[in-house]
Amino acid sequence: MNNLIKEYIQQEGRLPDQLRKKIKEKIYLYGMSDLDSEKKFKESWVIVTERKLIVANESNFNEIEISKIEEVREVHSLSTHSLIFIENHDCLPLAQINYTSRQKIALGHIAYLVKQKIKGKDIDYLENDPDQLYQDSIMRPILEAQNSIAKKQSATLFRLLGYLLPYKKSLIWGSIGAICATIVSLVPAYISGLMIDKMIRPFQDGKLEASEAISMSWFALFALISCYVLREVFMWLRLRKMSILGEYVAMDLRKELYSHLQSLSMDFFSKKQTGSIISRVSSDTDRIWDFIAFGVVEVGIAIITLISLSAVLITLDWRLGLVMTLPVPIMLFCIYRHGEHMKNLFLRGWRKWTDVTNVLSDTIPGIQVVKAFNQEEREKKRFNKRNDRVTVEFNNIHKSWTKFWPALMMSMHLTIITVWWMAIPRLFSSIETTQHLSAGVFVSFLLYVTMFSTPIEIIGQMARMLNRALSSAHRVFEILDTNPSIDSSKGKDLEINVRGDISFNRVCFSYDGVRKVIDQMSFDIKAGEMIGLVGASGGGKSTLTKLLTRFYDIDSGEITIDGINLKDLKLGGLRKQVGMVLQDPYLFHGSIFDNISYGMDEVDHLKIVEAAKIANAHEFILRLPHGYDTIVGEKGHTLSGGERQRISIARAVLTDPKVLILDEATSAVDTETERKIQDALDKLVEGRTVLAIAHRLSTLRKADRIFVVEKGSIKEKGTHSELLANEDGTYKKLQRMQQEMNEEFVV
Amino acid sequence: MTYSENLFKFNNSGQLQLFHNDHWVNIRITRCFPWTRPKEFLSFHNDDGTEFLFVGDINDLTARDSKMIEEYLDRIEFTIKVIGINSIQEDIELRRYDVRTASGNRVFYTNLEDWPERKGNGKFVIKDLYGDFFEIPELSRLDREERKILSYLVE
Repeated sequence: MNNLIKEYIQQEGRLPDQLRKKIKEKIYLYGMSDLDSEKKFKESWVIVTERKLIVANESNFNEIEISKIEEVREVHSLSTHSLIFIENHDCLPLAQINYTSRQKIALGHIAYLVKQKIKGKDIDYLENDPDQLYQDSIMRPILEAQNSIAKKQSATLFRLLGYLLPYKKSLIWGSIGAICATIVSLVPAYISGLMIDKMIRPFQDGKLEASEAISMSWFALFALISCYVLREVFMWLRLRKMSILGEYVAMDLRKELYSHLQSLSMDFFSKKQTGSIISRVSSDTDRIWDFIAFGVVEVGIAIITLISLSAVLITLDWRLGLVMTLPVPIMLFCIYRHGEHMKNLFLRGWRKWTDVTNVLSDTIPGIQVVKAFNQEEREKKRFNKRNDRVTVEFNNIHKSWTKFWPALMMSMHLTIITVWWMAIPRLFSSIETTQHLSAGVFVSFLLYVTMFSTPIEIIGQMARMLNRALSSAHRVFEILDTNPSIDSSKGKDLEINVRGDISFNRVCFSYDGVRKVIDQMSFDIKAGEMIGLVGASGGGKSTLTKLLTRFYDIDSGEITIDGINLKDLKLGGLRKQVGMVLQDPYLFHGSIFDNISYGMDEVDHLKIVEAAKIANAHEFILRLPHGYDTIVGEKGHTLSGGERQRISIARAVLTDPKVLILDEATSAVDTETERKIQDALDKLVEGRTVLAIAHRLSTLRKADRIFVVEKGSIKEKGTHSELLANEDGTYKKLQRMQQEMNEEFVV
Repeated sequence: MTYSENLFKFNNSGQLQLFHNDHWVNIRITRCFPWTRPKEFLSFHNDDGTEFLFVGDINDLTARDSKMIEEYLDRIEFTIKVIGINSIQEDIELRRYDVRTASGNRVFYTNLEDWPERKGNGKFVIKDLYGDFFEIPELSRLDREERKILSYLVE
């Protein structure tokens, strides 16, 4: 990673040893400030130790006692940021460091840590390696964009070709087909020349009998037919074996990718865009298939053809052969350069094309607004303007390639003219001279020349093809190389008759390794108890439920269910026992039956109906034209938020978990629907341990206890009435605010 | 509305303050239109977002305040100004820019599908993977070779 930072962004990859030696205390964190006070690029290190904040560069080593710092002020603007360490507002700051967004994560960690220390908070949890924290923060954006950055191109290519190994047989047959087809393709031109020199010309000169010449010609014709038939048989062998082989490789990659994706933890999915993951399974594997099925062999054949043709031409006649072969490298270079030029032109075209599609994706979904504001004419003009621009760009592309290829062909023709020019005097020279060129050899030569252009074209485009395939392979291997942060296989299966006692003991958790989202949280929940979680957004309520379901592993402390540490349980067993009803439930494409029974192997239809009845979903399902067989989800019947919520409640009823998490389950629905959902939830929570997150306090009326969660810890804990009794408490404030809002609404 | 009295000062620790309701309060400034109208429509507010003052045009302030705020904004609303282009290359998934800027030489990366965006003031701006903004000069201010390197991304 150290070298990568240097290579990619030309910045030091770790704190220099020279500087480390000067620092006596343990280094907690460090980062780099890359701007001076004049906003010029200048590197200084910012280091936090147990007691000190150090700002150092080649010439300065400024140590500040953290105990002296009263405030850390952060100033953020478009590209620059500043951290100002203030001792006293009446004095100049102790230090001000300026930095670009590149350093923002690392220095943000430092600002947070110093603020925590100013508050006197315990930072023992920070056990991560400071080098790793710094390097991760700097490289993360590049790694997320580029993937598998450390891999060498050749290593990726070999790894990709390794997927061919299980299909060695097909590969060998395909290669035999390709090589034989290439060799056989060279024979007809030779036979043609032979016919002229050994049959036609001797017959015309009276040196060969007509009957003998004809019988020899029939034999030659038969040889020609055999060559063409053989060539096509070999081509069939090659195409058939390689395209099928490519499909198998793509299938293996897709299988491996998809099953690996299923094993990855939530942190992977939170870092990657859904579209990017989908495209790796679909278009990237497709591109790899294309490369393996056609690319590898096409390029192989082209190289073999070009080398064999050059050898044959030089063997037939070395002078003419050199005239033909010497310009080949120049042509290859021209094709490569043209490819690069076209790439830029295509990028311009693509940029303009994006402008056109942006208008479409703006106006078609928003057509009602366009019409309501009578803006049809304006939108037409906007579209036409961009459409004109894209047409100009695409015309430029056409102008470029239509100019290049005839020019290239012209240079080929010029080479052929040169061959003719050199050949004519020799063709008409005396047969006895060493200079003489026979008509047959020349015809063979000309026929070979016609085979030259295709391999040149393919080899010229090889770099682009290889780059595209390797880029896809990088993207695919990145996923395959990602290890799940949570091992789902270890541990024991939770007993079927779990009680549902939950305990959090001094639990700490942070998403980025520095900022604590859950801070030393401890509580016990008895089996069957219903706990309401309230508090401002970002306080840690949802994170808490994600830790309980082990979507993420905690940094320190312990979470237990029935006294068993979550880390000692198999994930499958745990998640069977913990059900979730989320704010915006997701329905898969399929029938309502399939969606309710999702995750169950064999389900009695009657149980599905019973679950739907408990979830207050039965009535609306029966109103649908196809009842429980109605297809929902993508391209299916559209259900309202409340209906989807009740399907998800039915799902939870059916799985019968001992622990239930309700995350804002009634927040996005109207009052009438909320009543129905609440009624369904009241039935669902019976006999289970429940953690219910809610903003509307009224939905927690049945909670046994309520936790007010703020900034990663529990600020207040108690029953509804106990919390209301605390006039200065957060819960009381929340309740008062909601009451006032309701009253305003009524007025 | 024009102001006849000075309203701003920096305290000893360098914090910009506004005289509001007989008190000096710490403030931040946000430009409503940072690219198209950078010196107009300025919001002066505290860290919580409570707005104390809204100025339609920086010239409405006293000459001293106007100068002070303009300098302050130039200092904090800094974008990296490119003055020359050494190379632009494509890597896997990334485009690498090696540029000379008013702050020094810099190598930065963007996604392949990101390109300089023309802002209302005629400038081209590109945001790199880290979120830094680089102002790209107009093509006419670059030499022939640099124009050639950049043209397919901005024209």
